[in-house]
Amino acid sequence: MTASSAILNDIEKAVLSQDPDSVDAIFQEAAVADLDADLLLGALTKGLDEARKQLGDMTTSVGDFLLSVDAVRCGLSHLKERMVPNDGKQKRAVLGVAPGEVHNLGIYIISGVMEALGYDVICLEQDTDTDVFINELKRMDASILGVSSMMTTTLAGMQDIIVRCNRELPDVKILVGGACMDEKMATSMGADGFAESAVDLPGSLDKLDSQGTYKRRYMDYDKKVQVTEY
Amino acid sequence: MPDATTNYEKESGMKIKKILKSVKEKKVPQIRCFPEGMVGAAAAASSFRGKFSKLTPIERLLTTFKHKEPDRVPVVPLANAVARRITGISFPEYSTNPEKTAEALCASVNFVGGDLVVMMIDLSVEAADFGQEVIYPLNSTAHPNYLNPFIKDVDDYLKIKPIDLSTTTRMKGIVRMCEIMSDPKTCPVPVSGFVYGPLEILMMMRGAKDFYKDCRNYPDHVKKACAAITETLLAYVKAQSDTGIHAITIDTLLASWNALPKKVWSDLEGDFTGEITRCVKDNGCLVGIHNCGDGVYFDAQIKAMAPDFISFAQLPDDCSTPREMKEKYGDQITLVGYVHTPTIVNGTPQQVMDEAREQIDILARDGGFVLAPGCEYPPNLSLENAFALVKAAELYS
Repeated sequence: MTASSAILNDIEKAVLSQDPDSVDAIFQEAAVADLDADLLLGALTKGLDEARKQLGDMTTSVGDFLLSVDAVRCGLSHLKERMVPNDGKQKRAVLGVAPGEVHNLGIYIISGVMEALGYDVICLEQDTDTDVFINELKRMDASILGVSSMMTTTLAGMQDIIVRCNRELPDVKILVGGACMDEKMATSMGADGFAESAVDLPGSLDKLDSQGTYKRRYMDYDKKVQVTEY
Repeated sequence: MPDATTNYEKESGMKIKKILKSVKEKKVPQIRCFPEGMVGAAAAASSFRGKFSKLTPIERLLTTFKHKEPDRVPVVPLANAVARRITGISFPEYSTNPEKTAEALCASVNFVGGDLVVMMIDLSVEAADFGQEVIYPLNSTAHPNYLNPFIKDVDDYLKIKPIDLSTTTRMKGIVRMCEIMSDPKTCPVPVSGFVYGPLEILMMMRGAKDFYKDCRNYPDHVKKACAAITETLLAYVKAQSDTGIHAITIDTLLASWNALPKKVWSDLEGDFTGEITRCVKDNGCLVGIHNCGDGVYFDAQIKAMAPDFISFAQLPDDCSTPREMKEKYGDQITLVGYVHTPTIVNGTPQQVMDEAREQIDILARDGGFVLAPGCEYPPNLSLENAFALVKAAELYS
């Protein structure tokens, strides 16, 4: 094994073993400076992918996965200065919790996973107004909006965001998630996709990508379904 | 130091006194005040009688908890905060005015139906009394102000001390509710008190993200705070059970896959929840667990707490189908659940009834099953799907 592949291997292992301190230490080693930023990002992503698999088969818990996400974030903070600024090719996303929602752990994890997947992400972790979501989407020229709602009392706020976004920014794809929701409900609220957890997030993002653009989208309240006209 | 025989005599004497007190107050005595054999015989008699006539809610529950089939599956719609809409009180009143809350919960039983009231009010009852700032919104349930957590730094765990129950506001309010609702003239069905486990209380005072990390990085700090909180919780569950209610439900959300690893939960909270459970049982009540997490650790919790029932929203981490869950745990505990929240929020009454029927078909055989939503009935929803749940229990048992 070469020195560079040993470093990449160590990074991957540190992410998988939920150890942000080790990632920090590795990135401070002089040898890392010689490695290509994309390779380092690849190692972080690979480690997180493996951790995500373990989360999926329940051999690790969300509490542990959170530390893997922190390890990735730690590596990304070191890489930030070395990465090429967003030249328009990197997809941008605005994520946040629905207005009134206090549970922000899920969205924090989702934003970490999306960053590791190469997205440029703004995460509005605290109770955020609909206007802030819309303004951030416009400011960032984002193509994805992600909103989570854990409590049923915040679903009305989530619906407001979806309606405003569909009306004002019809090209933005909306992904929703949360314990009180499922795919059917997400569709009926006018979202484009549903992410049950970090485990199936890449699949949900792929689904969003494969959807085409449309002319008009509206709710048929009699049938309780969203209608999309292409 | 008193020997085991003296302790046994003392405990028996206390239970007899509790039975006499209940009879004097025209209440049904608490189930654990009676010898196990007598309870089993009563359940068998109820099961037999249930074949020919309608049982009372307490008979129905007792029968199913003892794994015998009652006249029909008991149902608990958990229509709690939504009940404020029946009596016309606000969310803040619901959280802070015990008399009005008790009135709303009784109205829920009288209007919607159900066989048990579980007094889950909001997430912040105990945390508020331990000093956490709480927000009481007009359109949602009370919650901690996470921008101002009581535990700002890991050293703050060590500052948490046991508190005197008589100096509390919200916990005393819950005890007051238990007093009001344990009177059968006020509430026609049995009542379960409610208490959050020490870890969840701490999470309310710290915020989930930092708390999960603290559990891994500073377990001794967390454990010391758990010990201090548990001391207060023991007095709290005793005060609830002294009102004559029939069960106490303990919320152990952190014992699930979407929270802490199983071993971490067992190390941090297992012993404390075991201690709380023993106190509840010693004081005559049945013990329930409520855990609306995903991949609930049934095995670890049964080992630590030996509960009578578990109310859950998702399958346990070691079962992939409801049938497997029934086979694995059906003879150890009573399963309480688990109509999915999305079905209740977004489904028609017929869809709710269809899902309930499916669960009754799989889980109700030989007793040990109570139909319920996986978590509290959504507080801002119309009540039609709560009626659908009650109807399903009546139609499909």
